[in-house]
Amino acid sequence: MKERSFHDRIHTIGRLTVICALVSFMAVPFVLAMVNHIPMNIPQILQNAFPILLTFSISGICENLSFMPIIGSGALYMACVTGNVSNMKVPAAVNAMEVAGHAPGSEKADVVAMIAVAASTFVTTAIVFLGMLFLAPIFAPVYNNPFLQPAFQNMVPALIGALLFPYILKAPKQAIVPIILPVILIFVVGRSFFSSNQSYIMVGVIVLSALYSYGLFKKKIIG
Amino acid sequence: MTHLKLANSPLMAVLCGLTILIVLLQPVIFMAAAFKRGKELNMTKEEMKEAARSSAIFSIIPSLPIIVSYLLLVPALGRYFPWLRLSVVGSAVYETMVANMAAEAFGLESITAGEIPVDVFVFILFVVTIGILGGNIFNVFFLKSYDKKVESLKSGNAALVPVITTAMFLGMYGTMAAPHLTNFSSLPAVAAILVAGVTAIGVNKLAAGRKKLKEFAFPLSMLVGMFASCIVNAMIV
Repeated sequence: MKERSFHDRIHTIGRLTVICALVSFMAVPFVLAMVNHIPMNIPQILQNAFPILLTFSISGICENLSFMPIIGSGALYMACVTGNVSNMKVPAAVNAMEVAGHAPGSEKADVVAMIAVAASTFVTTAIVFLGMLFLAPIFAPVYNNPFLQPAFQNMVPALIGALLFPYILKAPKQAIVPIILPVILIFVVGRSFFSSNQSYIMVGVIVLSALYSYGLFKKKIIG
Repeated sequence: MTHLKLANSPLMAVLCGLTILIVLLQPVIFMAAAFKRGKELNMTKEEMKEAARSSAIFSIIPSLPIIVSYLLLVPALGRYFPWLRLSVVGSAVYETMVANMAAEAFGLESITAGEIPVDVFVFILFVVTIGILGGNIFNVFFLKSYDKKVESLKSGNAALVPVITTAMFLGMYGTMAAPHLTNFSSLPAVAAILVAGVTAIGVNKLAAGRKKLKEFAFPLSMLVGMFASCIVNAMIV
């Protein structure tokens, strides 16, 4: 009984807070226009925004479907409001589960993921705030320093490597298909096709990887 | 009134600041709920604090490039709107692209090509805001039922859950890793992923039994990988 109520509570909190956030996002241009008596052409806004919304929704939904079973719903509600999901929030959650020693998918892991994503949100918001106040112009020369610049340009591969390799070592048999399949696919379909369709490809690879691991488990090769 | 005067007005600062505060309520509420639930599940306070600390330390590094991309948006969109957008869902690439698309719909060359009429500016703000809400709208309407499906699959297959979530994780980051692993035209990128990965394996070995090091293992390995890409780049040039 207790399990159920916690689950429902997470979704209630998630829905309410996301709705609050979305309403306040929309309120920014709305109030700005109202107070300054600037005309708003709502049909024209919707007409232009809708195709963009549709384009970004499909990949966004694919990502959400992929992330939820790993980081849990509570963490995902937060991650989607503040963004940087795959390059910050999911790694933060997975790392925290790893440090705490809870396997993804368990309830304790979901709790840890929620704490991790919340903490990550506070840090990013604080840094961006400082950036807006004074830090951005001070930090820019460091970022643009010719020796250091590759570090920031290659932050994402470094992040993926640090997150992924220990997992490969932990489950080497399970890793064969999900690591090699996308590499082969890149050579078959080309880099540009791969990167522009990555969120769809990801769903396919995840499903195949899960089926493959399920096979290994059924044949008692792992587990 | 010019669009930049509007964008840099105190009203805009207040609107953006208030929105960020409202957004921050969410992690506060979730954090409290998580700590409460953790206690019920007999997790120690220290364990939960560790998760927060480890995640906070890691998040510093990927947050830094965001403040540089902030500078790219300021000339066209003013001081405050980019602050809001980069604090919430969105990125410099998305904002620039969509803001330009919206400006073009009004026959403007781009958002940086001089003065934007204020009504067009408001239009741009709306389009940029609405364009990226899809994932969140999905969550409000469908995440609960998707979660229920996943839960019902999980119950009765308890032994299989860690196997499948590991497989999903490997599929997810395997897909993201592939473009970098095969990026032969940029050796610094290949160096970053390989060195960070090998370092992470090494540090995790060392950290067995040392909780403090384990907390830092991930950000540390990432920094080593990033530094390796600098060295490789300096060697090539």
